[in-house]
Amino acid sequence: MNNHPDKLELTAYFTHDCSETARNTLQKHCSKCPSCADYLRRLDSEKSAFLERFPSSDQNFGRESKIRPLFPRPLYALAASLVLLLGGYLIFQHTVSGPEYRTKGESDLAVYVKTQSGEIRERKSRIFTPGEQVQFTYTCGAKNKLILLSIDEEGKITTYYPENGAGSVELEKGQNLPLPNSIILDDYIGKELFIVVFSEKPLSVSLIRNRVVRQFSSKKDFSSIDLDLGDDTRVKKLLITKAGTDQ
Amino acid sequence: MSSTKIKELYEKYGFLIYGQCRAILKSEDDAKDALQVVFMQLMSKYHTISDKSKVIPWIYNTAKNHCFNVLRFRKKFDTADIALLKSDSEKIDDLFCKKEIITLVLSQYNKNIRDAVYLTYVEGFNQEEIRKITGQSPATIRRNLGRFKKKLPHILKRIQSE
Repeated sequence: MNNHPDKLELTAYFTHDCSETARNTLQKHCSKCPSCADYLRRLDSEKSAFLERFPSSDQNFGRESKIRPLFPRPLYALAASLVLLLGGYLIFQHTVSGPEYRTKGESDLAVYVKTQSGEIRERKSRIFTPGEQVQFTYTCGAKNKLILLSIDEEGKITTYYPENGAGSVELEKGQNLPLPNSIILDDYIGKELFIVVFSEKPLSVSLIRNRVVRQFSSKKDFSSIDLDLGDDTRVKKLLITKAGTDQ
Repeated sequence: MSSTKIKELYEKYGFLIYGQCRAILKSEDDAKDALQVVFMQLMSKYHTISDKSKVIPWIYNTAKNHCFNVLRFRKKFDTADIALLKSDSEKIDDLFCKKEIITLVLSQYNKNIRDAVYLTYVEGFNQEEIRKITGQSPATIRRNLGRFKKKLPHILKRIQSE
């Protein structure tokens, strides 16, 4: 640490996240430095104001909470389950393979589910139940343009991302980043195929939708859907099940 | 994670997450949504961060990335303000207010440049602090700030034509 600590060091000191040695050094420094002492007072004031405005007793840590979706969604659009999005590509499992969500290379994925009992955990199976609230996270690099849609056994297509707009949505590159929207699962029970397209350049949503519909319609079979969009895209499919009982 | 631990994390870090999200998103409702999302991430990630001094940089980075995604998804910036911008000065933060800098930054497709500009001019971090948050070296940060200033006329032209 330099003679004068930076804001991150002071904040870590304030939250008790620094080593004992650093703590002692910072304590001595702040007792003599008005600007650092003032910064700590400001943090304390912000913390107090925040907890007064949003006390922990008001937060739904153990109860169902309503995350207001950024975009209003019709309930039927929430029927399907969740998808984890990876940077560059998704790893989706066909029903015959094991419940493995790890991806190749550096990509990773997880889906966070807040169950009806209030627990938040990573969901490693592909079985979900109505009422569960889910949050997607993704990791992406160069292929950071995304389209996510699903098709059910009746051939009905729902586009999740982009919510509006004709082309792929661009994502921030990074690891384990949350997608802005969370979803509360509705009462639909059945199988649904999620299809995610990561690409380096924006793609047309209608092109992807039309292709999926055309391929599914020929045999009414999810296995007949096989998008081949070129080397700068990555397409993954996940067949999931909405079950009526908790897993 | 027990509810006691969750409460402890919330009381310890909630104000930092909320403050960061509020600064970027401006709206209290949006910031509350973002707080919930980022806090959920923290709850899942916390036990994997062995060096707890890295929690604060993680919070800044995750909240920033999430809020940028929110803005990007919504295209929530006022392009009318951009018409008033000038680009003939050396100091970015002399010319533009923080909201405008965020707008300009979102127009940049290079994440490293975006981070360097945002963390320097909006958050007011020094280069060592930015290195802790993003991993970019101070030399890289200086270079990225220079690249941004050089691209500024093109960015402004593109925004104004949208």
